Amino acid sequence: MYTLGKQKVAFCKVYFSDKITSKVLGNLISFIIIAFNLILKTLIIKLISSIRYDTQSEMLSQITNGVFIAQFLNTGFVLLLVNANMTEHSPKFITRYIQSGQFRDYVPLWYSEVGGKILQTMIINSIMPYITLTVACVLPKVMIMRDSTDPHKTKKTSMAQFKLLHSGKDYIIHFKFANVLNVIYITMMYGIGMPLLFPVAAFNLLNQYICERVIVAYYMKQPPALDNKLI
Amino acid sequence: MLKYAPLLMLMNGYWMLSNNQIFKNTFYYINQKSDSMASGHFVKEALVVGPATPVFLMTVFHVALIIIFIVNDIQKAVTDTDWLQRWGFTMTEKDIMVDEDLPNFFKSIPLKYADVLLKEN
Repeated sequence: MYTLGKQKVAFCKVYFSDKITSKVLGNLISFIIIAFNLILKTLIIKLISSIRYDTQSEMLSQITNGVFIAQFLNTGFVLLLVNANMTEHSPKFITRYIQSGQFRDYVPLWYSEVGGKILQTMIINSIMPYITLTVACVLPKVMIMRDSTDPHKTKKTSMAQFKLLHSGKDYIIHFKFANVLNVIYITMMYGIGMPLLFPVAAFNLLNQYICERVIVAYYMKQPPALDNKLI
Repeated sequence: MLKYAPLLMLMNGYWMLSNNQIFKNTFYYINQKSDSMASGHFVKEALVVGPATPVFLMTVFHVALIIIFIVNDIQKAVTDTDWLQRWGFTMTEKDIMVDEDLPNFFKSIPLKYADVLLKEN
């Protein structure tokens, strides 16, 4: 027991409470990054879609690059910069602003503190395709059920609305492609120091392939034919 | 876009593999427990032979390749001639013409298959 102001507080209780809070907040970072990525994706797609491009492929290519860069900075760079201290290096007028963290280099502690978080994010990211698949599978059924439980009846007042309900959504290939690029770049960037990222990336790409194949075959409209500008 | 991924891997990989604390057991004293230890790790040490030297050489080679590609793209945009393609360093963009020696479509299909073809389409 120790005295905090006029109160007597159990030392171990405070210690374990703080420890649990820091652990929960630490683990939440991965989820926050993924959630923020989703928001960024949606925002960037809306912003770039408002620009008029000559071809659909050009627009999709711009969206892919925009979404990828935002995601990559958010997943791979923010954690690195927040924990970095680069005051040792030149040019000083830039590096003096990067001193919030404790790591001046990729020291052993960096791998457990920051590397672990990046790996955790990538592992959570690798099972995300199944969540996307579940949403793509359940959402149209819920919408149809909300319309009518009887397959011979509908509340829709026009054929176009009825077709829209039953024909599936547009397949957003640029959305998926940006995600693949993000996984590859993060893995390549930290892979030499953290080789575990390579099997995690392979697992992620396998899951993505399986889920996207099912989604394209059963739940979405056939995607438009695209040229090689997307790559 | 993907061509820059190996560059990132080599550059960051070089920095990870040339860490003095892990590979040379280098350490610096700190004044307080809360201070972070100096790394003593600088780009100017790149020419010193160590565990990261092969990665450094690959990085230099990759940077050179990227520069060649960028210069080639710029001059292609200006002069409309792809020098790398001319010298045989890249795959051709032209479609390969294949002559399968097939007869004219309308001559090779007999009239009796006309109904089948119409139904199929």
